[in-house]
Amino acid sequence: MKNHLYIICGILALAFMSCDRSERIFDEPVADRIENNLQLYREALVARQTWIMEYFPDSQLRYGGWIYILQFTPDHIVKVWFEGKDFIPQENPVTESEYKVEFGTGPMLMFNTNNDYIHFFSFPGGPNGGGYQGWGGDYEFTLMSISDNFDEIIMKGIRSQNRIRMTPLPGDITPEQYIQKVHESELSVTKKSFDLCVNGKVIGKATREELPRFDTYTMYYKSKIWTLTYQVPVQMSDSNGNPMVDEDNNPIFENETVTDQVCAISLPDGIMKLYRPYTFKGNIVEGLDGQTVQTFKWEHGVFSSRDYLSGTDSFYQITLQ
Amino acid sequence: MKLKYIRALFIIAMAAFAATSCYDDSIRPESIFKDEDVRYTEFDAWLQRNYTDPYNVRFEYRMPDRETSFGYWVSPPDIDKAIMIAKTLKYTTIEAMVEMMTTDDEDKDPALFVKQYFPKVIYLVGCFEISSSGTVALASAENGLQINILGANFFEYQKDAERIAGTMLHEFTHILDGIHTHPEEYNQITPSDYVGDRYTSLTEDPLKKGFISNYGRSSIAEDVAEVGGRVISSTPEEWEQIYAAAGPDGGAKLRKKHDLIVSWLRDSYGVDANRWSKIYLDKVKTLDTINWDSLDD
Repeated sequence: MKNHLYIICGILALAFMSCDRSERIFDEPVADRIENNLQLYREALVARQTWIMEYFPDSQLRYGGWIYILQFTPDHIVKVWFEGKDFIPQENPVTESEYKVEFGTGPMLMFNTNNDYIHFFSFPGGPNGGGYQGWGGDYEFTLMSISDNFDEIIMKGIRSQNRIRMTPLPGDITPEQYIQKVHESELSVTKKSFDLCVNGKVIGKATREELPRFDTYTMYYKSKIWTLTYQVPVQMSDSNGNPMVDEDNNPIFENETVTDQVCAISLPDGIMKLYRPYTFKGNIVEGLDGQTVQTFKWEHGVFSSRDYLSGTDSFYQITLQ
Repeated sequence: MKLKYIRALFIIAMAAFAATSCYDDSIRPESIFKDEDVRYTEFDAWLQRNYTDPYNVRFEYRMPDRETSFGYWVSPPDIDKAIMIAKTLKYTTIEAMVEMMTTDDEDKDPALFVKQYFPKVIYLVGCFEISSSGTVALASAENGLQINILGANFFEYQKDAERIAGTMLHEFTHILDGIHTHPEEYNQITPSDYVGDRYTSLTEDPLKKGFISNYGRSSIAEDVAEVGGRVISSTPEEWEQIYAAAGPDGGAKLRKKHDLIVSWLRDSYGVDANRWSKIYLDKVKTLDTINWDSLDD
C-alpha cells in the first residue's frame, strides 16, 4: 500500500511539472512584436502628421542645432520646412521626398530619397560646402521611444549618435509661422558677447563668433555655438604633485580658466536650449559645482540694451547679460 | 514484485508523455516576413517593366545607408536623377548588349548575356564616395552582384551620360573578371608597375607606362577594368591615338592589353567587342532620342 502511494505521488508530481507550461516573457512572437512596434511609429507619424524636429548634426556638435518641420503622409511622402532654407544652395530645392519606417538597428526612421533640406548636413562634397563627411548629419535614425499620447518621439542619429527630439506642431500655427518665430528668437539676441552671471555675480563670459545671418551657413551655425569662459579656484600642487598649504595649513588656491563650448538650438518665444545641460565646474559661487543649466529665455531688461538671457531650469539664477 | 516496478515505471512514462503533449507550440501559418511597407510609384512600375521583368535586375534608388561601405558618408539620390540614369543605362548598356548579341538564329535569346552576367542589383547613391584623403570613387562593384553608381545627384545627361555609361562598363568588366578571370598573360605585361593607393600621387604619364590611367596602376583588377571599359567606349581611331601618345614601349604594352581583353571577351563570353563598341558608341551619340519625361515605355 505504501509503495502504491509513493508511485501515485510520483506520477502526480511528474504530471504537474510537465504540464506547467514554461512562462513566456512576452505574449507575442518576436516578429509580431517588431511589426507592432513599427506600426506604432508609422501610425504616430501620420496621426500627428506635422512634427517639429530638433536636429543636431555632427558627433562633436560643432554646427549647432536646427529646426525642421516634417509633414508625414501615409503614402511615405514627407514634406519638409527648414530653419536654414535661405542658405540652401539649390535654386529649386527638393523639399518633398520619401520616408520609411523599418527595422534596422531597432525601429528606424529613414529619409531614403534625396531632400535638399533633410540631407543638407549629410551630403559630402556637394554644393553645401561639406567635406568628405558632409557636415556630419544623419538621415537615418533609430527610434528610441515614443510617449503614450504620441506627443514626443526620441531618436538617435545612426552616424552621429546624437539625440534628436520630435514633437507635434501645435494645430494653431503653420510650419512657416513656426520657422518665422524661431528666426525672431534668433534675431532678438543681438550680441556676440555676454557676461556670465550666477546669482547676480559675474563669473565669466559667454561668447560666440557670429551673429545669425540666415543666408550664410557658416555665420549662421557659428551663432549657435557658444563658448563659456570662467575661472575656478583650484588648490595648487607642488612639483611632487602634493596639495600646497600656507603656514596656517590653509589650502593655497590658484585660478584655472575653464573654456567650454556648448551647442544651442533656438525655439520660438526667445527660447535657446543647449543640446545637453551644461554642468558648472568649481564653487565660484557656493554650491555651484555640479549645478546645471540647459534652457534660456530672452528677457527684457529695464532698457533694451539690458535685455538678457535667463536660465529657466537651474536651481541658481544663471543669466547672460 | 518485479512486475509491480515495471507497471509503475510504465505508468510514469505514460504520464510524462501525456503531460508533454500539453504544449501547444504550433507552427503559425503566416510568414514572419511581412510585405515591405513601401510606396509603389509610376517609376517603380517602369523599372519593373524595363529591368526586373526582362532581365531580373533590381534598380534600387531608395537608399538605406547600410548598402554602402560604412567607411564613407553617403546621401540618397534624387528621384528625378534616378529616372534619367535608369533610362541612360538601359539605353547605352543593356540594350547595346542585347543588340550586340542579336543574331539571325531565332532560337538564341539575345538577352541571355545580360540575364547571365549583368549585375543583379544596380544601386544608386546621390553623392560620390570621398575618402578622408580626398580620393573620389565614381562607382563600385560588390561581389559580382551589385554595382553602386555614385554621384547620381550631379547627373546631367548632356555631359554625364557617357561618364556613367563608361563607369558602368568599367564595373561590369570587374564582374566579368570575377566570373572568368582575365588571361594570366595579362599579368605579365606591366607586373611591377602597380602601386596601390599611391596612384593618386603619381606624376608620370600613365600611357608611357602602358596604362590607360593612373587609377589603372592601383591594381591589376582596376587595370583590367580600365582597359575593358575603354575597349568598348573608344573607337579604333581613338585607340590608335592612345598607342601613339603612349610611345613605343607604352604603346606596345597597351596594344597587348587591348588585344588580350578583346580575345578574353570572345573566348570566355562569346562577345564581339568591336561590334559591342560600335553599337555602344552609336547609342551614346543618339541619347537625345530618349524621352526623358515619359515613363510610359
